[in-house]
Amino acid sequence: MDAGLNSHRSLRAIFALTVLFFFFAIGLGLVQSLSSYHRLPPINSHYMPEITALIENEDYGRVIPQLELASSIDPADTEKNKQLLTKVCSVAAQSLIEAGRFEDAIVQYDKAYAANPNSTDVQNNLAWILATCPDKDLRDAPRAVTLAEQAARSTNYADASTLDTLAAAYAESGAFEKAVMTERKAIELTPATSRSDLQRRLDLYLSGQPYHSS
Amino acid sequence: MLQQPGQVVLGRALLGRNFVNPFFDYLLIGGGLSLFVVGFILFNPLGSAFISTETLPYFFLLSNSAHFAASTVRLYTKPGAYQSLPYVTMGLPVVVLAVLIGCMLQADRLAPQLTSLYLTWSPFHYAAQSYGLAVMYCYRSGCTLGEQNKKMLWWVAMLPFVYNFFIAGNVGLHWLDFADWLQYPVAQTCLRIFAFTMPIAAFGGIVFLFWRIARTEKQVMPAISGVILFTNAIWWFLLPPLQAFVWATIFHGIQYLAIVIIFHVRDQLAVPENHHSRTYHICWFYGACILLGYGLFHCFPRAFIFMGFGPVESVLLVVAVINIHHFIVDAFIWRLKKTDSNRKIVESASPVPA
Repeated sequence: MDAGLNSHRSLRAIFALTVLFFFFAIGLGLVQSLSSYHRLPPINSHYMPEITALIENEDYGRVIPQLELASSIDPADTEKNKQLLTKVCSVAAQSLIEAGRFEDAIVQYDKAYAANPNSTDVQNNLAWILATCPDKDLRDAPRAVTLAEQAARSTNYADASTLDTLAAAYAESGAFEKAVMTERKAIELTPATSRSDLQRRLDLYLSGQPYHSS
Repeated sequence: MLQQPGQVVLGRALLGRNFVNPFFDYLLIGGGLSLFVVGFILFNPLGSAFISTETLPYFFLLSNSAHFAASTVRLYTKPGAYQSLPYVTMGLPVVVLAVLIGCMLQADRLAPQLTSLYLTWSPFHYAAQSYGLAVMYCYRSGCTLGEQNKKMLWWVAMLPFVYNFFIAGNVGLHWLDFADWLQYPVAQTCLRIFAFTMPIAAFGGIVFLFWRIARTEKQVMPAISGVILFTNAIWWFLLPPLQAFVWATIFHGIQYLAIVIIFHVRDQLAVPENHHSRTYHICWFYGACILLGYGLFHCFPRAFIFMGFGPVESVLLVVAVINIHHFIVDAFIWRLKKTDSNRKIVESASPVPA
């Protein structure tokens, strides 16, 4: 009887602490909520304002695991999360390339590709870095050709950017004839005022050299 | 033309004994309202100004969030609950909070599992509620069910859950399919056949129940019991899985709020020292549910975000844990023990005036 009473007394004490924590958390959340929200967000996008804020602050280290988790646990929003993950990884990869961190950039593009393998932009960007990366250990010509061919095919061989990438991939793999032909087609599709970079690459391919970014 | 006495008796038996009035009971507790809305959604899917991603959160707050909070409000306001359910009232919140924090700390590994668990459990919970309400109306309307018919009613009520368990992605069988054997062509064919036959079994089962109870018990099952089973089946079989989860939760919430408010008001009016009106108790209870629902679903996750946890686990794990807490609490607060006030309310002959 006494033991029962004591156990209930302990239970009551732990319960009181839990209730205290709960109301403290609710109060804290309410203050946070009032200071940042002006309306109720849709339930499945409840966490998106925070994720968007992380993206705006370029806090990619936190954004990507959050989006990966969201994709795995939110069956309601998987497609939307994948699109967002693709976008974030691509932006992160671009920033990493500018910072000269090519290996990390390839990792980000790989994540974007895994989330959205049909994205022409992702195929094209990943193929470009795999074909033209200044670090020769990171270049992967066969994969670059496969990805660039996918991207060029999905644009019906009518997009200068994807053809430029395909030409770079061919050149990296040693197929200079194909590279020259493809680069010429890319030049045809590019306005005369923006052809200088492409012309430079064509000259390289004509002399039997691949193009590598600096 | 005057109705024959036999027809009048049959009509009354079919209508059943309602808690408030037939309009209220059939529309809100029976789920009749949802039939109109489901029709509206099927012909106008989430595109109108009335039901959109802008307005949906308010439906969630007023129905879904309030309903999850309602079981907690009911638990702590139910006369004698602390004495009769000490571990549910005082122990369960501690355990739930510990589980929540544990999952937050191991979100990568545990969050997907916890979410799949609650999404698998939800259709079972709704099916069990349909069964409970159907039996309650039978009992209240004087239609005594034998063991066999009770079992049959249970299985008919469970069919939407079974369907969802086998068919919906990321939950049930697809969640437990670690070896990917559901991708085999034979398994896919079986699932397609299953998906085709289950709705027939579920809707046919309801008709069969009416017939079987009339034949074996020589009694009429009240129509509202059938309507409750029918609406739950409509939600899960007619709507695509994602919309089914959204709308079943909203209408289950409306159904739940209606019945729980009836029980709460009855209990409070029966307290000898009560000085408040029926309207006061209704407003107090629903107001408390909305406030607690807002706190639980909106403020509580933000506190975890503030404490440094990621926004995804903060929102989705809190939602999952609140759901699971609700499912467990519900398993205790609706029991119809002879000494329980629930029993007196179900047995009471007079309807509860609105």
